Amino acid sequence: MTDPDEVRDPASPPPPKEDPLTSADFGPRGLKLVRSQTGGGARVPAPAPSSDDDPLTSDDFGPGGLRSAWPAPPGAAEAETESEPASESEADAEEGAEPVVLVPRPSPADDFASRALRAPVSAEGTDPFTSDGAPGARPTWGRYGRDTDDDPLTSAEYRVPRASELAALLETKAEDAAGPRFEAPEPAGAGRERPADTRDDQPVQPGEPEPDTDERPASTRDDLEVAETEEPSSDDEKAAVEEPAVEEEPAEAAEDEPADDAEKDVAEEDAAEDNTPEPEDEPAKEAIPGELGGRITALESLVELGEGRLDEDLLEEARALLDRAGARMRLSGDHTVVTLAGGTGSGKSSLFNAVCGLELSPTGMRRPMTSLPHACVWGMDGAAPLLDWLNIDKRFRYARASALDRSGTRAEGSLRGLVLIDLPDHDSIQAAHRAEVDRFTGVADLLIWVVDPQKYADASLHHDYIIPFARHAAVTLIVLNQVDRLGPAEVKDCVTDLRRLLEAEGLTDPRIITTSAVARGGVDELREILAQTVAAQSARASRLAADIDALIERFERHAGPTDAADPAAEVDGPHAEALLDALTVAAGVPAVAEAMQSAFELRAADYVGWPPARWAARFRRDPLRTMRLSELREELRGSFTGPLGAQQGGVDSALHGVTDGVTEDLPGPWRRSVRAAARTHAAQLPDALGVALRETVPSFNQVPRWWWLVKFWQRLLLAGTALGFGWIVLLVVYGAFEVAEAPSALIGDLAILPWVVILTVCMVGMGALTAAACRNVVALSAARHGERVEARMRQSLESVADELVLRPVAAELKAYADYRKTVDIAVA
Amino acid sequence: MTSPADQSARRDGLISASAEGPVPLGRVLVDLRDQIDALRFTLDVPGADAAAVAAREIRDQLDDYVLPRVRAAATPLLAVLGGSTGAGKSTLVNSLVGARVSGTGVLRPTTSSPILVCHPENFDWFMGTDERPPGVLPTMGRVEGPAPDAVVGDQLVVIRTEAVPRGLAVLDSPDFDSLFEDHYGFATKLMAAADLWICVTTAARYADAQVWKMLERAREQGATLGVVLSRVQPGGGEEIAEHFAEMLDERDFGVAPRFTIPETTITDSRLPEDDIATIRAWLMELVDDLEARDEVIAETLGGVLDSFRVRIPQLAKQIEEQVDRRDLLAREVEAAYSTALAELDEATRNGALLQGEVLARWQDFAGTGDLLRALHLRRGKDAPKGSRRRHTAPRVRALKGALRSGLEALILAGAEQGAEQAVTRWQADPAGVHVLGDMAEQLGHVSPELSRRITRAVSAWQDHVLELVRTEGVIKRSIAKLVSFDEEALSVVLMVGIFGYGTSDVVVEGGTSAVPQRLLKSLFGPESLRGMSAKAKADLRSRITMLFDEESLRFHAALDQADIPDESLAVALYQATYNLEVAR
Repeated sequence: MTDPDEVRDPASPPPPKEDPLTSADFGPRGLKLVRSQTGGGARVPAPAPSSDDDPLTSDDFGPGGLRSAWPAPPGAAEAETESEPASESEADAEEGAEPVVLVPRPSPADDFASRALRAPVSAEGTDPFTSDGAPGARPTWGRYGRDTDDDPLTSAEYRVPRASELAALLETKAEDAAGPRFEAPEPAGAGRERPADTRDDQPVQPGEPEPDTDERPASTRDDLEVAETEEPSSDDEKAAVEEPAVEEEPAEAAEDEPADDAEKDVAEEDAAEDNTPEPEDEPAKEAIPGELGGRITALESLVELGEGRLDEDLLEEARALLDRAGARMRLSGDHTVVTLAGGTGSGKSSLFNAVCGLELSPTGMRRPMTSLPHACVWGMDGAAPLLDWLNIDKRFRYARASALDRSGTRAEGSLRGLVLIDLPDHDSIQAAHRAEVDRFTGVADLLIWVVDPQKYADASLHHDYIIPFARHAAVTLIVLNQVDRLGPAEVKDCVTDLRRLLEAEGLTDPRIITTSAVARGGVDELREILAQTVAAQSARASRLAADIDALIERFERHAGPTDAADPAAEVDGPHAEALLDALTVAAGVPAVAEAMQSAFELRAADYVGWPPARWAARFRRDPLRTMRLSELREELRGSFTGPLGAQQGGVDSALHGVTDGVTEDLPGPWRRSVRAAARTHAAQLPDALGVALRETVPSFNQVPRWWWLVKFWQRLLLAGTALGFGWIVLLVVYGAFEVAEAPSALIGDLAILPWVVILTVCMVGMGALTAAACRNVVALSAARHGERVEARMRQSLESVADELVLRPVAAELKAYADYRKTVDIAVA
Repeated sequence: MTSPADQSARRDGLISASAEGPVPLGRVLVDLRDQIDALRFTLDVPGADAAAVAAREIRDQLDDYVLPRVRAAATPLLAVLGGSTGAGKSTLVNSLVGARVSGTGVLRPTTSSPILVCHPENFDWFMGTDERPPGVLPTMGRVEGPAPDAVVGDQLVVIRTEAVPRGLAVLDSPDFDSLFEDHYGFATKLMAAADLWICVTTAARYADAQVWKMLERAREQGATLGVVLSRVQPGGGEEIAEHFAEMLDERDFGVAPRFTIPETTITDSRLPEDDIATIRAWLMELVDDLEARDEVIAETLGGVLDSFRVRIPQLAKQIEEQVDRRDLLAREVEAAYSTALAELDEATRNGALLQGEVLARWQDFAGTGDLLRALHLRRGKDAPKGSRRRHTAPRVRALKGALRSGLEALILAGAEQGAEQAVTRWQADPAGVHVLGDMAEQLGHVSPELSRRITRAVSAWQDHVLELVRTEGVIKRSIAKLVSFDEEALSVVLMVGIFGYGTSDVVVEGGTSAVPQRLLKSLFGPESLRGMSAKAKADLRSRITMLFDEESLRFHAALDQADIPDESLAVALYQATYNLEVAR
């Protein structure tokens, strides 16, 4: 392809054929090899002023052993020959000579070879770990293939700095602690189709030199800074983007996502608000899409309802999950956290390096090797808080930018948004590693279990990780590594056996792929799956959904059978009646009524009784007087104190069976809590009953009015009798004994004596009769009175029972009904 | 698998066959084995599960290894190859033997049934004949090999070949860290029966936690060790070997001989001869030198018996813990019921009974003057009028009945509470949960016939109070001449007085309190009254205590049923250990 805009140096020979596929001018990276033309002036800027070509000491070389600075486009390079070096050194100067780009610059092929570090293959094959850092002392470094190609990135003979050196290099250049360490264009991956890569990787877009210069090291830093300040708004955008990414709206997601992505990429600095409004206003939930948010809310209410009723461990786990889910949803939704976990020696770090394309995580023969997690992020915007939350040491954070993303649209196969974490092993003798693994597998969005043919049936892997995560089959990937050690038939057998084991453990339809970190093309399938997962952006939600599923199942156990009828809303009629009866008996209501009756009758005797009988009683010989306890009588009479509450024992046995009717079908914890609810006020019941009764019992001193009449009548009769006796005496005195002259005939006439006697006797009789008659009447009315009092007392007891016993039970049953409903919501 | 009857028959036969070695040692070991067999760790005390496993292992080791060894000397050396899955044990065995006797493959785990390779002359010793059982692992079934690809389950495959020298047998055991639990069981069992245990691990696995656990275990059990590091990559070999050696030294395994096998191609399931030359040499050395072999055997046996010195007292300690826990549970039941009893005491003393119906009846009884009608004036020697007594009876009876039902309800509630408390305390303890089993509901409530028993007890008590009043109610002489009283009514008054009428907790309006006390004091005199009250209270308390004791019997019955070991077992174990020391 000829670049139409190419500005040619007239003196230069016409540029050679530019087809990267066939031209020898292009190297494996699709980057133009800048050659010094034998025929003429330099087409390219002279090599950097520094004559030092040792990558270790020269500032021009980055950590990859590759020269820093982007290559100039072949055409524009001529025009900008002057500016290039200047800007290059500018770039270097600006960053303190931080090498950021890993593009080879040197010229002819053999020169190229000499520029990069080709290690002399030493004769004895010194062990890289025991030799002390002599450059190139890794002749058998086999991570990227053992062939002798010249590509510095893939050939084994080129030295890549060791991790310790890397750390040292980076340490001295530390700037922004939260920022990425270095950024590099993504190499196309070992073994991928070169032509496709070269096409994509071509830095030169015809007619678009701008994006190229935009992506220079200097400006990438700016990009990042800008991106970071844009984070809050882009979070909103991401929240808005999350909504369509919900699982049940795939169509919408499919069409929204590319558009949104593109907008996001391009409008990053614009902060232009999208068309989709924010889903919710609460900052805590702003990123949670519809269905998952509903389930999380349901789980929260389940935890609330279960407080004090369910097992505390379960509630603790649920709370932890809610915290985690909230935190994760709030953090970047663009990024997918993928963890590489496995036993010691299974090749996680090698895979990690292969996917990243660089030697980031140290690998070696010693066991165990990795002790702290390493993370690599593709697309750094917004990932810093996520990495902080994951607690990844800042020394071990790496960033990559996909070359495929330069144009702004998300290309197929891009890993943008991937956070790949290399974990320590879980079965070595260092127990701390295990703790790290546990921590990360708890939060990862996609779990990758790396197994190798030697260890794929290890108990510790299956027992501690595969089985507990059996539900998470959708977010699990099993990678059988080191398949280069087996023949193809053996590989097939292994995979079948592994699949059988996994399915036996409950992992439905497990995804198993085979990789080899060493062979060419061994990690292609892995990369593809990673790219798909990252593009779908649904792993996070799936993972959380699987976690919620596991927890909800445990809550469901306490919800009772699903096909059971709705539980009763309150204690049923017969039991409530029985409760009331028992409480009535416990409060002694019948006895109180009887006592009231007796008191009534006794009172009545004071009013309607026959006075002479009462006087006679008083003169009877009183044992109390002989005992000198006469004041007792009055005390006893006055000891009607009214009802004083119920006995605790009676109350307890009354409460004993009140919930039997409703608790039959309830699951264990709820049965206990309903029973306990019936007893919440058991200690206050006796007093409350007493208070209620005292209010209903009428004042004791009420005296019906007709008693006064009768009393008056009795007095009258008494007076009449007294008069009669007086008259008789007078008659006797005046008539019989003729003491003196009778003042009147009435008094003196003896003839009327019998009449007077009869009159007196009649009055006495009437008094007695009245007393008797009134006593009967009083008895009747006392009985009626007693019944009325009893009914009223029962009524007031009913209200007390309702408030102190039935209502708590009803509240508890309602809580249970809510619980069932919420479980249904959470499960669905 | 041989039946237990056959096993015991064989064992008895052996004892009577007068084994070599000190006779007491064999007998002591057999006794020990029987004792350990009878151990049960039922309660869920921390450490009980581990102790049960340990007991089983010791018993198996006694059966499989110690007893046969003690009875017969000059036996072939058994070298057991143990290791992780995929370490190359079967390959190593095949290489040592020179033929494919053990299946190897890519699928993991590979070896399922252990394969024992021995010389034909030793074949009888390992296979067992009709006259004598196999010399090692007598309880495991055997099958004659060769069957490299057949998986025969949990039986030992015995293969005879000339390639193995006389006096040595090599056993390829299943791995100890795959996900099949029985492989781990086999691996430990075979390790316990080995004279020489060779741990095979690989360059990728040498830092696995499980490998080191097994090495520790082997050392604890006293086996002689050898360590093989296989599948070492050619390049980094020395470094790994050194690292491994360092780790071994750190953890005190310095004495064990170490070997390294590089990763090479495997032809016909065998390794190249050069690679295993050192191992073969070592094994041959052991076999040829009789002294060395005997030394190895004696060392391992001595190591195992030494380990018993530690392991068996641990078991005994666990037994003691079980006993302690049982006592604790019993004490908790007692505590629960005594709390209930104390509360009941308080309630009967402070007038809590005098509420509701009882109080109403009392007021009825007292306020209407029936109380006073209970006192009659003695006219000379006249008996009190019968009509009077009959007239007062209903109210007295009603009050008595109210007292009785109130007291019954109180005692029932107390018993209910005691049972609930006891169950709650037991449920807080995992051992208690186990003992409760599914009886929690049943034990948490009072026993069904308790209410009947309470009724009987309370009415008996009321009769007792009546008796008291009748017999000990000595009225002051001055008053006795003048006043007689209705005993029943007065006994009721006494009861009301005992229950705390007039104490500060009972508020009585419109009058001072302690009416019953004053009445009775004037009738009986303070001394007599005190005596009667005390006796009545004591009698009530003892009846309630008896009721509660009967209730708590249910819990003790549950404890007995749980089959918790006795202290005597622990003592017997200590004794056995001592005997073992003496016999050696």
